[in-house]
Amino acid sequence: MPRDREVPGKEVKPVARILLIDDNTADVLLLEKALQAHDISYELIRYLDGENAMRALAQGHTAVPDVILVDLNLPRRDGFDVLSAVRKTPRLAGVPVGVLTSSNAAKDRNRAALIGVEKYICKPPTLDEFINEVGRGVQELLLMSAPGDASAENSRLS
Amino acid sequence: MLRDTPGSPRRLSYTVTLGVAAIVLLGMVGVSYHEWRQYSRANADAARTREIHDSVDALLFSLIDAETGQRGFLLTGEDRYLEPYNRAIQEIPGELAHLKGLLATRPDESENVARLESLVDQKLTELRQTIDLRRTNGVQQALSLVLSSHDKRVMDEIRALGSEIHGRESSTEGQASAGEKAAAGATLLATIAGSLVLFFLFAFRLDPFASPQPQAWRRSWPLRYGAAVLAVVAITLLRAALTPLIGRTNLPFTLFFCAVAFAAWFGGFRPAVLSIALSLLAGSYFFAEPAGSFRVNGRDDQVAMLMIIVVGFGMALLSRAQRSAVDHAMSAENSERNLRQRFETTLASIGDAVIVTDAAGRVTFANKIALSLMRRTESEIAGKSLDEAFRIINELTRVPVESPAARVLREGGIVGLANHTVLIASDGTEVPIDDSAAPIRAADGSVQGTVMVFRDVTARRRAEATSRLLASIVESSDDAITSVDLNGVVTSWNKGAERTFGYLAGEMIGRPISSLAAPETADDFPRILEEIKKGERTEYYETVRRTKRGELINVLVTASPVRDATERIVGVSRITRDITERVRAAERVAQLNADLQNTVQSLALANRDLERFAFVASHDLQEPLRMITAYAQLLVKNYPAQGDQEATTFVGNIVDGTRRMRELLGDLLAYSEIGARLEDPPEAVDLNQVMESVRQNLKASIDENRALVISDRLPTVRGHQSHFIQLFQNLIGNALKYKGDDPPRIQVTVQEADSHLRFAVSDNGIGIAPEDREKIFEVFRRLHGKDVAGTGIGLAICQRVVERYAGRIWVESQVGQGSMFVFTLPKTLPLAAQASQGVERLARLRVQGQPGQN
Repeated sequence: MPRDREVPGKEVKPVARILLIDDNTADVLLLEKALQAHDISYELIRYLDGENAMRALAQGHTAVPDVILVDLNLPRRDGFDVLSAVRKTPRLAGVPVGVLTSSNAAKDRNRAALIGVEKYICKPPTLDEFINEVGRGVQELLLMSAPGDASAENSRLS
Repeated sequence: MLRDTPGSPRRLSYTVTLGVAAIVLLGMVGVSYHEWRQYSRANADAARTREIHDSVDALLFSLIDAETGQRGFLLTGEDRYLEPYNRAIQEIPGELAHLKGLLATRPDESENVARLESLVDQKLTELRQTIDLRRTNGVQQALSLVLSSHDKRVMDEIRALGSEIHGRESSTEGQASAGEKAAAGATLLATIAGSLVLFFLFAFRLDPFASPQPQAWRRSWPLRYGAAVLAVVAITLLRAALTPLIGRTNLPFTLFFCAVAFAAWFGGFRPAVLSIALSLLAGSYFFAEPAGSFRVNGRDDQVAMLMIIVVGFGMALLSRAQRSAVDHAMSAENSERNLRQRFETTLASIGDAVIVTDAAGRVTFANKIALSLMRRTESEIAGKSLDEAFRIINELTRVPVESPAARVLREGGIVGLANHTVLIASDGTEVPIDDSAAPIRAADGSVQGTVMVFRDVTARRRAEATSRLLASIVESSDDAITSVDLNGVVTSWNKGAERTFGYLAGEMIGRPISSLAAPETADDFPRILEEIKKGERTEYYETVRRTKRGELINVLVTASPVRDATERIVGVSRITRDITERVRAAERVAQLNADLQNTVQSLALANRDLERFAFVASHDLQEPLRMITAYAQLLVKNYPAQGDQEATTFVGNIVDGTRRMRELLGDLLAYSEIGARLEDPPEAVDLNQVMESVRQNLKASIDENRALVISDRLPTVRGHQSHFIQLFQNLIGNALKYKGDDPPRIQVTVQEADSHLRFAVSDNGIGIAPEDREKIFEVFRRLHGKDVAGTGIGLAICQRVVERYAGRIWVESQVGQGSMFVFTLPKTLPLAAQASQGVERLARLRVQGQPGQN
């Protein structure tokens, strides 16, 4: 549910294409709050479960995103499966991947690190923390993505 | 010792007897020869004397014939009367010459012969002159001449001379007869003397002809009959030789008694009969009148024939009777001798030691084994008293024991085996023996000696000891050791068998073993028996048997063949072990194992559920809590105008509640992960480093409370560092949290015990009441209110860590005097490693099971 593409008064910012795989709509809303709070203009492509996301990624139905965000606790195929699939998809090479999860377990952190996730973002419990940390995390991920690359992708799509 | 040996008196007497007999015989032969020579010489003298007589007589007759013829012519003048004269004239010179020849060997007669010759010449001259005168001168002149004394004187002189020669020759003949008589007398004497000597020898049983062996009586028939024939021939020759002595036809049969007697003696009855027949033939043909025919004319001779038949048969019968008597005696003697010899051989070759003594207890015989056991030679002990030669003592008391032979002599009965007797040999060697003795009794029952039998029982003692040992092993065995014969009938039954089956040995021996077969299982005894008969063993065969009480027991049977000395299979030995307990135990173990398996499975399931719960707690439960928090705050933020101050407070409470809930969930997750989160293998953990990390983690609190944390030098253990950090951090954190009025002083010490390390974390805090010492380790158990931070899971985590490493944790404390938390860790932590591996496996299970769960 993309909303305003552009925040008024901040038109110079390129639109970040964010691929989100998360089944929790409430969290998507909070994510958007965080992105907005950080003045990130974004285009959100969302899949509700891991299987659909993996199929879509494999078949190349989606454009190459600037950032991929994956929740670990997904229906049918869990987040790690999706992460593995992403890492095995050549056209997604170089796309920074972030884990967006409420689990702070070391096990999950280690596993994510092994797969080569660029950012492990633990969803903080309070609203302010959430907005701060998640927003900052996505910003960092966007910085990892090559700016030129992102605009090239954008022009290709438009 | 009882046997004849060369040089023994008996052999000597036999030899002497033979010598004497030979000398007597030679003497008799010598005397006989001498006498025979004398006799023959005398015989020749007598014959010549008779011839001289005859010759002188013939001369005289011839002279008388001549004179008769001359007288007849003279008277008649007829020439026919001259015939005797002429014939005599012819013969006289020859006869005279013959007489001269006969008397030539006698010089004393030569004068007479010369005179006789001249006288005969003179006579013959006279006769011729007178005959011539008759022819020429007539009768008267001739007669006158004849009637002259001269003529008659010549004739008388001749006659006198003849008488003289006669007389002298007659005296010679008398001398010869006397010689003959003396010779016969000497022969008789010699014979009588020889017979007496022989009689003497026989009378004193010094019989040179007696055969020592009865077999010698059994001479071969050619020998016996040949001897009979030879005897008759010899007697015939003897009789013929004696003819000059006893005449041509005198006593034709008498000597043949000798032949018959010899034949009877030498050859027995039938040769004797043969010799009678031959004697009758020879006597009647050669010596009875008329000689040269088998007729016997003389009445005396016929009587003699009858005599020889009757007496000969008598002798033959007597000989037979005597022979059978002698046979009998000889065989008796021989059988006695054989018996004695056999006894001696038996005693000598008997396997046991044998000593024979006389009535005085002196050794008269000892066989080889006895000698070797006593280490003595025969000559050493011969005649010695038994006590001297045969020293025995009691094996146990070492007191000398009376020899059984001595007891036999004293008590007169048989003395049986004595136990524990040891024979001391001459060289001091000790030999355990069994001995027994019995009296040797004469026919009248008097004790003549003893015979003692003993044997070396060393080997038997050893065998008995081995046998006892084996028997005691068998008896003491808990296993049932039994044996049966090939018919399956029990032959032995040990105590173990009695215990196992409940049947006493007396009940089972002789009964078929198949009565032990359990009704449920087939009677397997015949099958085992068949296998055993083929020489096969049955090892560790498991089956079921029924005891006397009817109980069924599980047994393990090993059956093997029993072989006799010839390797023939004669039975079966069985070792039967009651494994009922074992089988039941195994069943129980199997049951327990199954139960355990179930428990483990259910535990694993429970664990998985727990892990799942922890996972849910950490993820799924936190998720809605986070939503509650975030959206409550969003609500206040987005709609501040519509909410009053009260709503803000409410939202704050919601946020507080969810935060609290998150803490609890976090602690619970940490607690559950101590048992699970172990993908890394245990490693060496330096507890000093752990302490350093804890100090760092708690630095704020330590500084704030101005606490003093001191620690011994701590060892390195095996495990997971995070566990030990949690352990020490919780304990020290607790000590900081529950401090007293003074600044906290926290001390970590370690002691080494036998098998474990004993750690203590002591403080000077508020202490713990005794009744609370157990509770504090419960999850989320808090003794204090909200004034002290924390969820109350810290000590539960500590306990879980310590127990995970097979240690123990407890608290020693007094209220107001601080607390001391003590925990132990095993020195070696493989137990912990194993325990952790088990949990690790569960952890992996959980991980793998995760994807399927929503």
